[in-house]
Order: sequence, then structure tokens, then C-alpha cells
Amino acid sequence: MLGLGTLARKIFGTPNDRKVKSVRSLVARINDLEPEFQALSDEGIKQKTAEFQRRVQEGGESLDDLLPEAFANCREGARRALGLRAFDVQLMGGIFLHQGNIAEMKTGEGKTLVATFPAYLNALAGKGVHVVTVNDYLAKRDAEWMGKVYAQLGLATGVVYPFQSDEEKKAAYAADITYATNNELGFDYLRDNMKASKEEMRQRGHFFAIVDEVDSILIDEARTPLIISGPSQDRSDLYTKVDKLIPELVEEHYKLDEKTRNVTFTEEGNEFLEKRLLETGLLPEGQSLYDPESTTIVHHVNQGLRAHKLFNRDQQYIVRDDEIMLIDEFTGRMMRGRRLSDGLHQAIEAKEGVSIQPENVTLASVTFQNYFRLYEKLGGMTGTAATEAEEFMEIYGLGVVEVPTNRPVARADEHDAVYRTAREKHDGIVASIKDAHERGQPILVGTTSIDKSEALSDLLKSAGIPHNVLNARQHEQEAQIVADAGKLGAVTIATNMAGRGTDIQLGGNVEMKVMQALAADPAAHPDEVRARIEAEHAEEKERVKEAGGLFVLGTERHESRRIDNQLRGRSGRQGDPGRSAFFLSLEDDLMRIFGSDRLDKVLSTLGMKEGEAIVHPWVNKSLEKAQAKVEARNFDIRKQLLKFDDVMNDQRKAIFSQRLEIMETEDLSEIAQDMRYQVIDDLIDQHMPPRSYADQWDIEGMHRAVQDKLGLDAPLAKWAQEEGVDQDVVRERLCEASDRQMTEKAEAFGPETMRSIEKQILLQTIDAKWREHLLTLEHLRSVVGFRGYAQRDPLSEYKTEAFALFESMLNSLRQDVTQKLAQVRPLSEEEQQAMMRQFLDQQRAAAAAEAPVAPAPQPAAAAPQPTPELVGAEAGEPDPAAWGNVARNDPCPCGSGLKYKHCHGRLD
Amino acid sequence: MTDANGAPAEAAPQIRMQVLAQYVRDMSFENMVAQKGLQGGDVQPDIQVQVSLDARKRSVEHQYEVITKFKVTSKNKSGSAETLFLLELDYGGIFHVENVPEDQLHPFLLIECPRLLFPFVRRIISDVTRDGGFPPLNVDTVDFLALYRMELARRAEAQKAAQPVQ
Repeated sequence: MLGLGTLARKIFGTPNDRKVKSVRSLVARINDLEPEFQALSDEGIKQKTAEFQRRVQEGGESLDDLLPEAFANCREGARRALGLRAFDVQLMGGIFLHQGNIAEMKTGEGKTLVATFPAYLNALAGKGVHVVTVNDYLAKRDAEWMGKVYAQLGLATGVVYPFQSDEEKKAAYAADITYATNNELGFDYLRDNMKASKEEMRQRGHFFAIVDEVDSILIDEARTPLIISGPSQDRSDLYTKVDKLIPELVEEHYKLDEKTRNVTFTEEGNEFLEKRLLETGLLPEGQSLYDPESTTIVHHVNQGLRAHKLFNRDQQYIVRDDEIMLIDEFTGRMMRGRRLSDGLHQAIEAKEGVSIQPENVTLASVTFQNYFRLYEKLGGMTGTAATEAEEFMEIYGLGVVEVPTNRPVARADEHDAVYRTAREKHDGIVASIKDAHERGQPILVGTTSIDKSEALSDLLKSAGIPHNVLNARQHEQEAQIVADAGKLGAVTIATNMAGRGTDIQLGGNVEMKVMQALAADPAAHPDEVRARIEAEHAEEKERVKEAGGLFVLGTERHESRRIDNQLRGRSGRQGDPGRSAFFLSLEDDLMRIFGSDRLDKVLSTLGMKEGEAIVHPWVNKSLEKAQAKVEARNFDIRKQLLKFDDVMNDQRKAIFSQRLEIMETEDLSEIAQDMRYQVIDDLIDQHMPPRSYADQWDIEGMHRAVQDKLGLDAPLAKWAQEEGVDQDVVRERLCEASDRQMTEKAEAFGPETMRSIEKQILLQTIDAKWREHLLTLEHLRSVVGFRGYAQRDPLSEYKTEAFALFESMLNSLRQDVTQKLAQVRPLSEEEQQAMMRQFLDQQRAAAAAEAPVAPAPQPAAAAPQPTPELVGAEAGEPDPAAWGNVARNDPCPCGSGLKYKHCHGRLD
Repeated sequence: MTDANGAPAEAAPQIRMQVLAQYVRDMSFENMVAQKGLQGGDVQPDIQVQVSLDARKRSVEHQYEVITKFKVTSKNKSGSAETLFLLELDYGGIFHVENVPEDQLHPFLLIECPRLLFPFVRRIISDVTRDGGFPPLNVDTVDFLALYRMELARRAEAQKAAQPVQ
């Protein structure tokens, strides 16, 4: 039965066929050039590379024009370096990648080699090409393997992996072609944008990236943000001190609202606290809780109160292994690794007397989506992308082209078998596995989760079928299990993600077998062992092929067709025979939630018998529709999130480029001056509104602001009384005065020091402001959804607000920079010493805080010679052996929060 | 307060001292005999008393808080030397002290004031030990002057020892 569409496709070919056809002529040209390059010497090939580089970088030839020659050269280089001659389809894949497409190539088609062609071609431009892999092992392996090809061609290869030194990383990025994982690239990008000077940056721009397993990186992990966070200042001490005060509070000191889970101090509470804080010295003499300097204290006190009154042990959290573990309110499960933000967790830690972990603040973050969109050109390879083509196009502007396989796929994809209940399905699965196992056909069973894989494993055990389980729990044996999965009659249960990136070879993996045989019998001659095993292997492989190749059995359909196709793709590689089938039931999540009700009705009216499965193309279609629905929904979610992300992304780009500019610029005095003038303008607008008279001006406020922001003691009152003085005159005079002040400073410091001070202050302030801004945006985003209730589009609201926030950030950035610059002054020698002392004290205090040693032990004395402690006498020599005279009722210096007599001072 | 500026008083200022308050500031009594069920009847106790002092200015003028800290440890003299009881007592008083010359204020606070507080401390220790089921402990009178001198000497010594290092 041919539909109209099918008919049309038969005649005109699919759009994909047309794309494939269009590059055939290019491939033909490369093939024509082959003899010419084969004739070149090794040296000649390198010279060709140099020649191409000249032509691109100096002659201005486009890479497209150079493609046939470069590909021919690369093919020859690969043949000599690895002994692999690229097939035409591989060249095709390379061309698609170069054109900025995603090349969909089935497993086992040699994607790693395909990447070398566009990488080589684009590296000729001298701007660096990044080849992105999913894990460090693959990055290193590919870099080493393909590095031989590039070396043959005269190009340098670099590989980036975690924990490299700065120099190594820089060298790797400076290479013509760099292999790296997506994580490392993203993190290096973030780290680069926290550097203080351009020389320290590692990446040198984003020209072209080839992403392997592009679907997993750009779709599955697209939303994973890369976050660099750092501990904020350590305030454990403050938490503990504040914590001691809280139990002193009585009921009238605070108001507890259990409904909204909120607790606030009352007037009495505030007064009481202020008094206690002053007494304990937490609040400096003469400072009140309401002073702006007390913000931190107030914050800590509030969090301490919440920790005590809103969070109860064994209700909201439990204490385990010196850690506070939160409990999920609804499920009652522990939420390992989850921490409350804003210092609340620390306050609870202080309350329970466990060690206080430092707070973390986000320093920088980027999502993969946004990172990869930085590249001028992007190419991707994967086995399964066609179903997600729309998303790739819309978000990354990447087309998807299915590259034909070198040999036709000989895998038989059976229709789905649908059962009524899960139990019947499982019986069907076990029966099917048993059948295939008895015929000697290797079986790979795909499950959706670790739980399910283990449940199935139990079923097989009771059916007496030997099998292996491959899930995230068996990391070490993973390679071994995958290697064995193709052996005669092997049964392997796998979760979807396990073992990705490694091929299942029919008859098992020869290399593995050889290694095992050698390990078992070290005395044997390697070559003999190899010959024997290869012969055995060939025979086993034949028998597996006769049994029908690898049988892939899916136990459930995933939400996305792509994942199902990945599972199917494990079988039938490089023209091998194979079979795939999915066993489903109406109780599967997907069917239950997204399947149409009709299906259930149809099945029941058909009068399905127990244990019977329905197999029909219509069912497949219905299922695929359900999957497409889910895919579209997930895509919508991602798209929506991306739109929100875009706002932050634009701002990030603006800030990062500003940073780069500042790092590159030698003399920032002009920028600083501009900022200063802007601040002066703002101050004047604020205190002396335009078109107002001198007697309406807020001279006093202006004077204070000028002193605060510009560090100038300007005689504003006098100026205001002068005849003919308006805003412009004031502005002029202030600008002049501040310029003079800065020139004097520059002289005092020396121009060079001044420039570097300006640069540092600018960068530091930008970084600090940006961090704050990130946090604010995060908060904004979590609440902006409520605007939807007010019939407003959350996205556009978010955009407007984020923009306003960005502006106010820039404003306060200007103010801060100006203020800081106005306040810097050269230190006198005394002050330098004082600073040094202070620094040393802090260091010592930090060191002391690390070791639980309390100061002030006094030598013990017997009754006849009691030792007095004199006024103001505080600390003796710290004695680690004993805590000295800790009073019995005092809290134990170990920090447990218990009284000393009930803790370390306990008498036994 | 104007009395300090009175003309005739200036020549020979009358020292004024007054106890404004006195109190137990902190107390801990651990009765190990009772807690661990030891036989306390016929043991020979070895009693040690440690005294330390602290004084600080209060926010009100001429007012000082002086704290005497007593730590009484009683151990079994014979045998395993386990602790019988451990008593800690911080006893404080608030004093109004006026017209004491600056250089004498320090000894005054640490000698005269504790001397006034001591009898009360003695009574409390006696009562608490008795209430704990022990024979009442009457602490020997403490010579606060000697104590002060000793501490001064100790400090001078410490300073001397510290100097060559610097």
C-alpha cells in the first residue's frame, strides 16, 4: 500500500537523498585527485599542508574551494599513518560536517576517522579546531590515534583533560586541532573569564567544533549548567557564636508563623539581641542592629532563629556522620547532598554542633547550549539525530543529514509486540530470550532503569538462563561485559546509557580474548595465541551470524525515539545480520500516560487472550505518535528554558566581552574618567534636579554623596550661593576637582602602578557585581512564573526586569569603581606594617580555628598556692595537650555544643 | 556625679567602696560517688582547691564586677585516684569603687574585693559538699595579698623569660 507521500518519495527521492546526491560530485573530485596525492612523498604531504595554509591565510582562498585537495591529502595521510583508507561515505560525512551539519552515521562506520577531514581542512585557517568527545578517555584515545594522521599531515594535536596545568592547557588549545570533552571546554571558558589578564587565558576563540555524540551533548545534556562555585568567606565562628545566643530567647522575643513557615523577631527580641550582641562583642561598641554595617550579623541572627524554631531534628533533617541531612517532606527520604542556601544550612550545623561546611556561591555558569552556540561553525556526529532534526535546526542552526552506510544494514526490525499487562510482557520476554539463547544467538536486552534491569535479571535467574547485567553499578567490568556481549548465546541486560561508545562485535572482541588468554598463560607466545584465537573467533563469528547476529530486545519504549534507535543501532553494524524487537505492555509508563485510550479499547474488544501479544504496524504507528508527542513536549520545555537562558546569555556575552576589552586595554584611565563623569552626572540629577533653583537643591545630601562617592570635600554650599551657578557649573567644577584628585593620585603612585590599580579594581568590581547579578537573576527567574497569573507573559516580564537589573548593575558598577578609585591612596610604611600584622593575625586565627585548641589555659595549682587571674589577663600559651581551665559548665571547646562536663570533660 | 569635683575632697579623696550586689554566677557540682555508685564512706579524700580571679569594668562609671572562681577537686587518696566530686563555683560581686588612685585600682580590685566575697564562697562550698553527702568542706582562708604578689612575680618572671627571645 503506497500513500501519496511514499509514492512521491519513490520518484523524487527524500530531501536527504538530494543532499547526499549534491556532494557526490565533490567525492568524485576527491577520488580523481587520489593518485596525485598517492604519488607524493611523506615530506610532500606536509608541504601540501603548508601550501594550503598559505593559500587560506594569505591568499584568502575559501575553505570550500580547498576542500577536494585537502580531503584528498588527508585521506592519503590517514592511509599512511593508520593504514585506513577512508570510504566514500566517510568523505561524505566529512563534507557534511564541514558544511556545519550533523552527520548521522550508524555505529561502526568510523566516525572518529570522519572527523579528521573537516578538522584538518578547518585547521588550515589557523584558528584552532575543537573535536569534542563525551568522556576524557575517548578524548585521549582519539587524540592519540588521530594525532598520528595530523602529524603525518604536519599539524599539531592537543588534548585537554582535567587537572592539567595552565601551561599544558594553553599549549593544547594552541595546537591546530584540540581534542577535549564538552565539560572541560565549558569549564575552561568560564575559568578564562575569571582570569585577571589576557595572557592567562587558555582558549583562543571559538572557530569550529566537531561534536561527537552530538545528540547526547546538545540535547540530553543541553540543560546541564556548568557551574563554577567557590566557598564564600568562612564564617563558621560567627555561626557558632550567634547560635549560642538563640536559646536565650524567650517566647515574646519572636513571632512564629507555622503556616507560612516563617519566624520574625519582635521589637523586644531586637532590643534583647542588640544588648546581648554588644555584650558578647559580636556587635562593635556604638553600633546598632539597624546600621548598614550590621547586615551580616542580622542575617546570621535571623538564620539562627529559623534554624532553631523552624527546623527540628529528625523531622526536617537528621544528623548523620557529622553532617546535616535534609529530609524530603513528602517522601521522607534523605536528600543527600542537598543543602539549604543563604547560610541556613550552616546555622543548623552550628545548632547541632557538627562541622560547619563553607557556603558556596556561584561564580560563573554557562549551559552547553549556550557554550556551543559561541562557535562560528559547528558540526556534529551521531548515530541518531534525525528524529531531533527540528530542534537542532531551530536552536543551533544545524541541519541533519543521514549519511548512507558503507554496506546496507542487514538488521531486521520487527514490529512491536504489545501485551495487556506487564506480567504477560515479562513472560513473553523471557520466552523470547530463551528461544534465542538456545539457538545460540547473542541477545542484548535494553531496560530503562537499574531497578528494572535487576528485576529482569531475577526473572532470568529463576528461568535458569545465564546472563550478565550491565548497568552503572558495574563500572569496572563494563568493558569486559561489552566485549563478551557478542559471543555465541550470550545474554546481556543493559540500561540505556551503559556501555555507550563501545561496539558489540559478533563473536566477541578479539583483543580482549587475546589479552585474557595471555593473562591466563603468560608463557605462551603472543603471536601463536593470537593466531589460534583469531581462528577460533572467525569460526564463532560465523556461527553467530548463522544464528542471526545480535538480537536487540527492548523491554520498554523510551520517551524519545532517538534512544530506542540507539539501542537498535547496537545490532547490525557494518552489514552484519541482526534483529531487533520491542516488547511492550499497556502498563508501561509511556503507554499509560501518552498512549491513546482507544488502543486499550480496541485491544480489549478484540478479545486478547492471556499471554497473547498484538503485533501490527498500526500499533507501531500509534506508539510513534505518542513518542513524537512526548518529544515535542520536551522540546517545548527546553525551548522555553532556552529563551530564559538567552537573556542571561546576552548579558554574559556583554560582560565577558567588556572584561576582555579591559584586559586588553593598557590605559584604562579614560574608562575610569568616563565612569567618574557619569557618576557625577547621576549625583547632580539626583540632588539637583534639572530646571530647579539653587535653593531647591539638596546641598547637604549632595555634599555627603560627593564625599562618599568621589572622596572630595567640595564647598558645595558656597558654590550654590554664588551668582550664576547652575548644574553645569557644578558639574564642571566637580569634574575638574576629581580629575585633579586622580592626577595627584597617579603621581603619588606612579603612572604604572595607577594603571594596574585601575585595571584590578575594574576587573574585581565587574566580577563581584556579575556574581551578585547572577544570583539576583536566579531569584528573579524562580518567581517570575507567577506573573502568568496576572495575565502577563513571564518571559517578556523576565526580559524587562532582567534588563532593568542589568542596567542598575552597570550603574552600581560605575559607582563602586569610582568610589574605590577615589579611596585608594598610597599606604604609609606604618599602615603597611599594620596591614601585614592584621593579615598575619588572621592567618593565625584561621590556623587556630582549624585545630580545636582553645586559648587561655592556666597552670593548675593546688590549694595552698592558688593562681590568680588578673584584670584583663586573657590568654596564656595555647596548650594542645589540654584545653586547660575550661569551666565545667562552659561549652566544650571541641565545638560539640555540649557543656564541657558532659563532653570532653566528662569524668569517668 | 559631681561629688568628685568637690573642692575640699580633692586634696585627700575619701576612698569609697560599696558592694552593690553579690551572686553565684555559675556553678557546677558533679557528684561522682553518687553517679557511679562508689562507696564513699571510708575513703581518704585528697582535696585540691584552685582559685582564679577576674575583674572588669562595667558600663556604669565607678562600677566593677569582680569574679572569684573556685574549683574544688576531691580525689581518692589511696588506690586508683578516681574523682569523688568536682565543684566549680564562680562567685561574683558588683562593687562601687571610687577615688582609688589609678595605680592602686588593680590590687584593690583583686585583693580587697575577693576578701569581701570569700566568706560567702566558703559557706556555699561547705553547704554544697554537705548536701552532696560528703562531710562539709571548709576551705582554708585564702590570702589574696600573697596570691596577688605571687602572680606579679610570676608575670615578671614570664616577661623576663620572654624578652631575650625577641
